Amino acid sequence: MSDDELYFDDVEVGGTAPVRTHTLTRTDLVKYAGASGDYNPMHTDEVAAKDAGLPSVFGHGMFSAGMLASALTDYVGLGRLTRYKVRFTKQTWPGDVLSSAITVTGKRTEGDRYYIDLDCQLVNDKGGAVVVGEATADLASRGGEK
Amino acid sequence: MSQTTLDTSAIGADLPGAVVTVERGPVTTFAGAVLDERPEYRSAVAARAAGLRGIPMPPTFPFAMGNWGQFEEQQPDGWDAPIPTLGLYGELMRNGGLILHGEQEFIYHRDVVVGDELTMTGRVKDIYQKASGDKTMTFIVSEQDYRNSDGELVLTQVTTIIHRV
Repeated sequence: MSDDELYFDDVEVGGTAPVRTHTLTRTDLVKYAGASGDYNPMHTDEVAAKDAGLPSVFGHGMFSAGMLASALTDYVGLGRLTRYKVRFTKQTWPGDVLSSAITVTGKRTEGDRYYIDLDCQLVNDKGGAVVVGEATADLASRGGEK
Repeated sequence: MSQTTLDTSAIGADLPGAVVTVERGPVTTFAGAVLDERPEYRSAVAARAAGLRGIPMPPTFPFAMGNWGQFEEQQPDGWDAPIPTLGLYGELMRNGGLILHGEQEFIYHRDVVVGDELTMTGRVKDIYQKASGDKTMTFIVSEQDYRNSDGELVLTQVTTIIHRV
């Protein structure tokens, strides 16, 4: 495994993950629509969105969930998540500066497994959470071989 | 808003089944779309060098993968049957309102990589209503299990859709 592997032993409850920040663009929404197959015009067609009374297109909730999952993967590593749950709390809009906020809330061992629990959010630049979630990861331990 | 008795008869009903192949192009494209540029999502060599069985699936890809690798000739009988909550959605929308994606949960039991062929079975897990201010929120929760070609459970996803009126 790589040198930047996150080990259970080195994680502390209350510790935080590196922050990912991204300014949402309309191109992001077009790319996500194509990649996911979600072609709801409220996400990609500015004319249709304005006709529906919206100020502009708005972001797919699952784009936000996906970006937050990328931030989780940055921290725990590929293939380490055992659970990821999100709740969608606010819409996102082009120009929003979205940042991840990930905190370790627990550490536990079950048999030869080393789990950490995390709270995770994606917040906009007005301080509002757009996605609120939780995750669990199964990490390697310096003592064990996993 | 007139409050009618909520029809919960679909709780426990099976969702139409499906067979989904995890495809390489969609996985790589999806990873880029959720801003993950790791080489392991593009290169099988990089993925194996990282100790993985193959190119991995991004964590939220299961929500989208049915739009890609669900090939018509591989589907089980009844795959195109209407979902058991169709009537409920129709009834709810008679009062107008909005359909929202409320929550999404993924439970990863085993690794899933490009090339895996997964068999999905699903069911309606719950239907319930809550008042929120002057709004009525109806929650429709469905659960999908995915098994690999050895019959092992690899992935569960739980989707909560909210009707708000």
